[in-house]
Amino acid sequence: MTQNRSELAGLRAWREQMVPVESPEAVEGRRARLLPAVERAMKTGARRARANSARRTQLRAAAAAVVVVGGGLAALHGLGFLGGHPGADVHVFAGSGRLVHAGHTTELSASSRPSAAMAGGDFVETSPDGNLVLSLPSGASVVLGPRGRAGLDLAQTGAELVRLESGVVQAHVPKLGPSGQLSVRTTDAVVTVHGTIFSVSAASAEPHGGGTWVAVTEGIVSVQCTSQAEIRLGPGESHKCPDPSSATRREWAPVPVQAAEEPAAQDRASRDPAPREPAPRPDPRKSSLGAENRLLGEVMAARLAGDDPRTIELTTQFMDRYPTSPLLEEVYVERFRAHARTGDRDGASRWAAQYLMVFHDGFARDEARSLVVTAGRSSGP
Amino acid sequence: MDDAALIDAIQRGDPGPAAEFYDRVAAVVDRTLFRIFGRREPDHEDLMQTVLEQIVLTLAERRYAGACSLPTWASAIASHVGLTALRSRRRERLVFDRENDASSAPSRGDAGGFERELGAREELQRVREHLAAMDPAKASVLLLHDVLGHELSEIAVLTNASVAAVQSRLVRGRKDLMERLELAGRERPSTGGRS
Repeated sequence: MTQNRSELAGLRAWREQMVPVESPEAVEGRRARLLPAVERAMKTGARRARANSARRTQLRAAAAAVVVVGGGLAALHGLGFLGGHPGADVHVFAGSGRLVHAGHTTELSASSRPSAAMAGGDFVETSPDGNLVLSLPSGASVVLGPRGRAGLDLAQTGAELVRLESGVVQAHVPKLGPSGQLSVRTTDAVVTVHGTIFSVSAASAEPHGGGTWVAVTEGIVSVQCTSQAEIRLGPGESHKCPDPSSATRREWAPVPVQAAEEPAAQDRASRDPAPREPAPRPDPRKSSLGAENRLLGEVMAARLAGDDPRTIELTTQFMDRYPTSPLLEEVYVERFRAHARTGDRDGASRWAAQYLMVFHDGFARDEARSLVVTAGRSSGP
Repeated sequence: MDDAALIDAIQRGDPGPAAEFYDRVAAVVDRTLFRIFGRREPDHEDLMQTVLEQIVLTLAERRYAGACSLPTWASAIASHVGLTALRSRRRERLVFDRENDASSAPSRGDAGGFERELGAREELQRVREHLAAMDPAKASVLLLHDVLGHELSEIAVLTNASVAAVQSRLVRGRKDLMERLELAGRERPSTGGRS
């Protein structure tokens, strides 16, 4: 109770804090400096408002179209015109990937053909610089990192299973219904979750290596490693399964990429420097927050020095080493801002889109949306 | 010129009454930002400009329904911009200042009024830090109500929420802030730094 009084006193002191009166010269000087900006805003405000209103109308129309089309498809499905369980959408937002459906492979690329429908039993793979997101029927989204391979099983009951063979996934799961369930299965573990954010690294994936590694950002997940009792992990906790001797690393088979699909040279060089140093392997039992903090400090120092290529390179290192870091949001923001500063609108838009997928309520969401929308407009007809 | 005429001019894209608009809202914007940061920071004018542009845009977009006065609307937008900037600064300090916390803490060796004033200032700074780390919706309501002194009904209009929702956010925000301060108070003697 004493503590409560002290805290309320803290707020009261804040409320009663005196605002010093400035000299008339200071007030007049500021007025002279800010007034032109206000005039400009008033001139352009109405125009910007009309543009924003038009954009919102377009978005509403697009959303309505999606609802109509979705409703139509749902009706057809309900009438038995469409077979099978509704599938997932796969969207490649960086590099390239492929979708394997009934033995048939579809090449996907962030620059040319980024999206495809994915059914239960299909597989997706990512290139060494590829990132893709699976949007599942439950509303969950699963981001598959570079050099990844994952399959999808969809049960009639609504349960969803991602079979992770290599690489790292990060899942964002909304509140699922009573019958809803999302699991990620690796060669040596099954991770089951209800409403949370978590990452799973396959047994062979860098930087964690060895057994499957699971880290939870929000909520609670259960982890069942082979020949071990099920354990539960809460926010900030991670667990590594014992190293399975049978784990083998699946190599990415190079995909022929058209010249037009190559990302900007600078971007590519910064994302995939060659020769690539193997990323250090942090011990999940030890906190790496200090090292994360130092690396983010380097990112910000590079940004303050105006060295954008270095900023991009350091953000790549950070994402590789600490895919579940609590500082990851800042790193994503630094990443898309660095691309924007260098004039790489595609890169900025791609990383802004990824940021929105991972941190949809993040502090820089408006800025990220603006980059995505701007890129969409400039690449439109 | 009353508020309605001013807003009408803005919606028509007429910059004529810019000076009148500035004089109507600048003081409240300045005060709100000062209260949030505890001083006029080097980028105070930049923030003021951002707030003024935001106010103009919201008025042009007809998001201001006239349910509160124009200065109240300006104060709400200033608090939103200020809180966002406070959060951004907190994040940068987390990176750059963590290792320097102990060394940068002012000396507490002096006795008397100076120390009390310093302690109060530090306490106030801690409250700001915790508010910046809280859920934005709760932090915003706490700031508008407990610091800037707006009524619940007014905040409901400003944040486009029901009075019940605002009240709930206020209660949960206060509880969250108390818990954060309590936790930091327990940790402080051992770490010597802030949370």
